[in-house]
Amino acid sequence: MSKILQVKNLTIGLKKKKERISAVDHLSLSLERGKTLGIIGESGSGKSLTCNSILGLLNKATWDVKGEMLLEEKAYHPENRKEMQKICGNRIALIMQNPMSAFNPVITIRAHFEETLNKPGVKKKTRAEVAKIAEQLLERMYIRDPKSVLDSYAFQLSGGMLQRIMIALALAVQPEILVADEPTTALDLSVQYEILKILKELQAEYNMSVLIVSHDLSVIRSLSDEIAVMYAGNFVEKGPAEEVLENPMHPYTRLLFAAKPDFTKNRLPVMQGQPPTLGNRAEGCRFRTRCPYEEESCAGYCEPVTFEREGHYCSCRKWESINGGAADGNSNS
Amino acid sequence: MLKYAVKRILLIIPILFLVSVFAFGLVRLMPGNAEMAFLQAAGIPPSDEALEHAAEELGLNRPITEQYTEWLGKAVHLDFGESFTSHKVVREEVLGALRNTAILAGFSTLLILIISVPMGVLSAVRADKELDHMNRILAFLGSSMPSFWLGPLLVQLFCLKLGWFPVQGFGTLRHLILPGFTMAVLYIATYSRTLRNSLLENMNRRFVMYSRARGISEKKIVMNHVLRTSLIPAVTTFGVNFGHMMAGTAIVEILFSWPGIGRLCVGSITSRDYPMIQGYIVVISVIFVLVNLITDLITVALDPQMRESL
Repeated sequence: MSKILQVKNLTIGLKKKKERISAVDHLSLSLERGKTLGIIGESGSGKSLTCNSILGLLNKATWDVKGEMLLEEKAYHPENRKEMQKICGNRIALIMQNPMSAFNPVITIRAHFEETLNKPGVKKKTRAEVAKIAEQLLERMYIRDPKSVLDSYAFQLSGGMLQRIMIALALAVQPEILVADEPTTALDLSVQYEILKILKELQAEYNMSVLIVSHDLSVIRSLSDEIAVMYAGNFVEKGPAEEVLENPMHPYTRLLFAAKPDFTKNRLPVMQGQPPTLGNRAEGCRFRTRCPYEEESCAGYCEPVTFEREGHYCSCRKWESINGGAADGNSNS
Repeated sequence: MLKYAVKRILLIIPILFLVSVFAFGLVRLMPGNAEMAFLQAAGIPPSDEALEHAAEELGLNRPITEQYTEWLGKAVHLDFGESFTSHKVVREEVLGALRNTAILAGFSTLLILIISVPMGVLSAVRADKELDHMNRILAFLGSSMPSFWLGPLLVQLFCLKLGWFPVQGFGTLRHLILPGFTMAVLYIATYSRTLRNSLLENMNRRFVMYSRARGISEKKIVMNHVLRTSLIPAVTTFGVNFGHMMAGTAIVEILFSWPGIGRLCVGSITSRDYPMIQGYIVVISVIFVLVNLITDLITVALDPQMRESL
């Protein structure tokens, strides 16, 4: 398997006057060609930051980004706008969350397609050619009247429509990698299902690699080949999708999965506490303040995902005893 | 859009009617006395008899409603009567002066556009760098310098010391530059700064991030996305300011002896020249209403959200 995208030791800090608050801490990931990596985590765990940093979209005045990024084994520099202009919307495409504010309200959807398809360095297309490509793509997204949609403005369209248009815009450039940052969060359930279906179909068709980020387990479950669980700025667990879903190793993952409603009358187990805010992350294991298995020794321990069981990694040093033990978050389901 | 325009144009009629009432009434409420000013201008000593005679000649001894209806009847045919003092036809005087002011205001507008837009864009692109700081200082100076002081300073430097431009007068482009610039300075200062700020604000909007994610060049992002959204509010404020410029900046016109409408108005007020003042007010109101209408139509054309809400 060839690795199309690799991120090594990504560290993102929020620049404040005196201190530097770490938001993402020594995160590494790799994405294989044609596969999907799903990142799941609570709000504020640094998922979107990771996505945006891969495309070099973070404001340099606010964020301090360190780390290595490789596209097909070749290093690239997200902080270099010129370089990124060739990569973004060409080799890597992004689907943003909240599509309503991502479109410019004073230009038409058609104009969005025109500028995307006619970006510098690409062969010029006539208006008719752009219209043809756009209409075909929109039809594939199950948009019934693509012509009138193209002449509409973002505020005249619904969120689900805009999300589909955004996917169409991303696919128009036939990218190798699609980064989907909460692609369905702003949508209602029936639309969510449709969008996921479209994404799956098109991924297979274009042989795209997808990095999908969500806090919604069902979204991640339905698309991913591999799952990474993010907590407070780094992964706590990652591995093949089925393996992670069936046998979660990290206590956080267990609790996260346990907090999923089922059809029994049992009370929904709720994880105690809140994820730590940026300045407030604990020393040592970041999850220990909420962890039912916390021990004194966890305070002095901070490791990335190193413990392994058949390609399934986890960062909890007590994973063996937990997995052997009886009392865990899944016990009542 | 068309329906909206027609509606707005029809609305001009009641507005102008109200304006005519106020123009007529307020002029007559002014302290001072037209007969007296008339006699003074003619060089006749103001005896009671002479005053009465003057009132009769000017038609000021008749009931005010009668005076108003007669004036209005003529005014709808664009006949505003004759000046009390110079006995010239008001319409020709006002329109002639208006033309001169339009030249000045038009030239100022041109200066404002070609200076403040690039200045605002550059300051935004290089925010908080040298260029931006320089622009900030210039804008501060420009907006705090009153034209009655800036004008003479410019005359002192460019006309008397350097001799590049004529001190005063009218007719050629060289005559136009200094008054035009004096008038434009305040607007250049405020527009370049407000444009900079709204550009910076819009640079942080999410659609800019999304454009970058699609690999659009920075230049295109600024020109097609950010500038466009930032210009919409600027058009509205500019419309109001252009109206003011057309009403005549009396100070600049007097300073550079520009035969414009502001100067004409100030002159007519001092000589209590009722027909002239009334003519001025009506013509300027028409201009204001038209300029407002045009800016509203431009805003609607630029902003699809406005179009939707019509």
